[in-house]
Amino acid sequence: MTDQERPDDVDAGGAGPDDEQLPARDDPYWAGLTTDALAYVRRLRAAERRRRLGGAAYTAYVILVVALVYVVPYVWYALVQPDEAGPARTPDGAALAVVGVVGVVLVGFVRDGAWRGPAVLDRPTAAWLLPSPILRRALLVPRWRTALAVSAGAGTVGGLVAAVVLRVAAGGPAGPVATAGALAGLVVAVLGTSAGLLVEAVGEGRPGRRGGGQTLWLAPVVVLAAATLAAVAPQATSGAASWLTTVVLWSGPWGWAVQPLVAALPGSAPAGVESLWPIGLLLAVALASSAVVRADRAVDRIGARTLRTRADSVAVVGASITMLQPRRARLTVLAAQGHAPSTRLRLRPPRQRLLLGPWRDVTALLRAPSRVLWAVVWLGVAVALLVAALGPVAASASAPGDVAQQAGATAQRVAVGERLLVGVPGLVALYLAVAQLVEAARLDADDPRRLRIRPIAATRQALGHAVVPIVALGVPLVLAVLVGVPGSACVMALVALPALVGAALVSAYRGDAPLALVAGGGSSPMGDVGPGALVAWYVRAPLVAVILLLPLLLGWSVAGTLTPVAALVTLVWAGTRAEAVLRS
Amino acid sequence: MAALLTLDEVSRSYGDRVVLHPVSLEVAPGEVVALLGPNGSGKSTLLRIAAGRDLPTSGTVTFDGRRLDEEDLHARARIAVVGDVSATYPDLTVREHLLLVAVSHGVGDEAGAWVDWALADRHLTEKADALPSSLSSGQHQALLLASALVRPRDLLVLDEPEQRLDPDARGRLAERLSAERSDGVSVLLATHHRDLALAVADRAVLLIDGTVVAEGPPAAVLPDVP
Repeated sequence: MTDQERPDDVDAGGAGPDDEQLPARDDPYWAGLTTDALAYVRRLRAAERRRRLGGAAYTAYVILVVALVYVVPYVWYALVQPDEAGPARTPDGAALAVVGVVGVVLVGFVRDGAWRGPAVLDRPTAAWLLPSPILRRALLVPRWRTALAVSAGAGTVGGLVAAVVLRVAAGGPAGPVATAGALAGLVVAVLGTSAGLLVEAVGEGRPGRRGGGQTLWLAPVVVLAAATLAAVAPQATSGAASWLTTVVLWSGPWGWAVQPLVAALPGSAPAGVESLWPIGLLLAVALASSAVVRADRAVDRIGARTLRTRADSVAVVGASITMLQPRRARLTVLAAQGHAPSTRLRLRPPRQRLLLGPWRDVTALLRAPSRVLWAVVWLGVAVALLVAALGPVAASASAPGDVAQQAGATAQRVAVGERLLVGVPGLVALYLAVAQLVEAARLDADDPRRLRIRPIAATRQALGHAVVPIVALGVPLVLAVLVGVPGSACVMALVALPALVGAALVSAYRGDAPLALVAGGGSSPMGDVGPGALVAWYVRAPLVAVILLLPLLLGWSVAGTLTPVAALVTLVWAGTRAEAVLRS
Repeated sequence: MAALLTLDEVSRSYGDRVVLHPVSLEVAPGEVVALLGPNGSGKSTLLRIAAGRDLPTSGTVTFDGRRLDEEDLHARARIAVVGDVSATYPDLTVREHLLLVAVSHGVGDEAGAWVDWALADRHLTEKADALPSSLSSGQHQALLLASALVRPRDLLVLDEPEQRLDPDARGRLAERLSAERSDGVSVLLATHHRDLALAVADRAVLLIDGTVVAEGPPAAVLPDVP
């Protein structure tokens, strides 16, 4: 461009007007510029917006159809059923369970706010509009309010469905239960979304502080607390436990919001809540309203750097999920939360090569303590389910005599079904506990070059990672037997451990999904199996392990052969996968 | 003197694309050989093959009289590699990472002393308890170099080790490579830094488009580098 062609208000250096010539910061000029710029962008992106709205409308249509066919009839049926339940039908401690769920949901909002938050920009907007001199509030407020509205809608529906489920279990008047559930969902969603935005804004201007990055430990702790509440629930109807329910329901918004629901469920509200629930509701609404107002003001405080990082993180996480790479998505989320492993706890590195592998594994867990907490949670769930699963068969097998034998055979068939129904989730829970403890193997697989740091074959490194999980879960299982937890369940868990550790290692060294599977689904003699093939590829290791462990679960004699075979198959498979990752 | 490393008519292709035409090269014990050439000339490919990290399409690689196999643990224990084929653990501190490398390579009870020496040699002592994510890019490069120094080695394979180093650190690198030569360690390095090649290399090899176009004393080869 020559000087003759250049507009008059642009000087020869290519810069705009001097600072002195710029309008003041609070001049309406900036609001006008913002309106013009956004209107222009809106015109330019009209086609793209239409395309996205079309996609969203289609998704909403599919959800609506599915809901109309599979959800609404059941909800309606459940609501119109006459309330035949007496107070005795209400499960003991239902109030505590509801509070536990609300606590987990609120932690979810805070965790979301720590890496994404309700006010999130797309990448192009973050790259081009964010650095331009337009008012940031105009960019963020519509997004934050839309997120709030969507969240409020989803919360209301979620609360309603949860209330219907509770009414099926506990009875109670349809109208009040449904209304209280919807209201609780609405308040929790609004409060959670606002909390998410406040977390998003909280780290601004403070170096080294990035929102709620330190909240990772919260989720397993809240789940543990909820599990503890569930454990005391059977005694929660009287005495000290009832007093505990009252305290929990008044302890914060997680309790206040659900007080109307608890009061509407027959026989579940302690004395302090039965009549005073309007105050609890009022407190929850006041807090949620205050949080909305504070969040609305805090939108201005979210910095450009945060918004850019989050736009990138959201894009990467979206792509990772599309490509079925949850590990990559998790690492992206952790990085966006500013999470760095804590080096406070240290284990002196050994000087013997043989001990280096276990030291590496234990150190990896010390640096990711939430993994250990989750392993404890899943182990508890697994033992509880396996104890429940092993009960019926043991009882039926003890019946004496011929007649009793026939009855026993029928009971046995029923018991086998029950054992599968409860035992398989137990094995899955045990697998999930194990999977938490193979973090070092996952770190190797994240960057295959790490498999070359030690001059040891990848297969041996993979098998070496099996030691710590087996010991870490085996010791508490042995201790559980010693302190009187039903032995057969713990022994079964112990015997199943090697196979499940192998499966967890195969999953750790899983690698990326084959592109053909991601792009085109899977073809079979019966046609394209679509996403099913992808899911099967993803869970193939635990699937094989659990199938091979079924004889053990059912007490079949073939288990004596198949269980070691299961361990051998999965461990050899893990070694093969580690080699494949190294060569990838 | 018998060569420690011998590449005999080694080539590498990716599909139809030839990135390395047949190249022959020998590195004697205690010799420093510099690979020179513009980006994309095949230096890194040649280094990966020489370190056993990649297999040649044709030709053979011999290390200490044995054909080099990708999974030859004996070779892996004696060839230290620094470059884009190196990595660290994000959850181990600098000292822990170096101890892991040292102990896994059989240094044993001496590991602590080796690590302290390497930390001091690379000016990383103050960062010994830091995680890799908190290091600058130059310090991270220094950590990778230190990882090669805390373990026994007969051959050092370095891919542009001067990258991201400030002039002081580059000077220390040159001193270290000269000391390695004095200790009888062979060095094969790819570099864009002419002064480094001139200061430490006994021999220079100029690669252009995957072909060796010049070989000899660095002072003789450097004028041909585009």
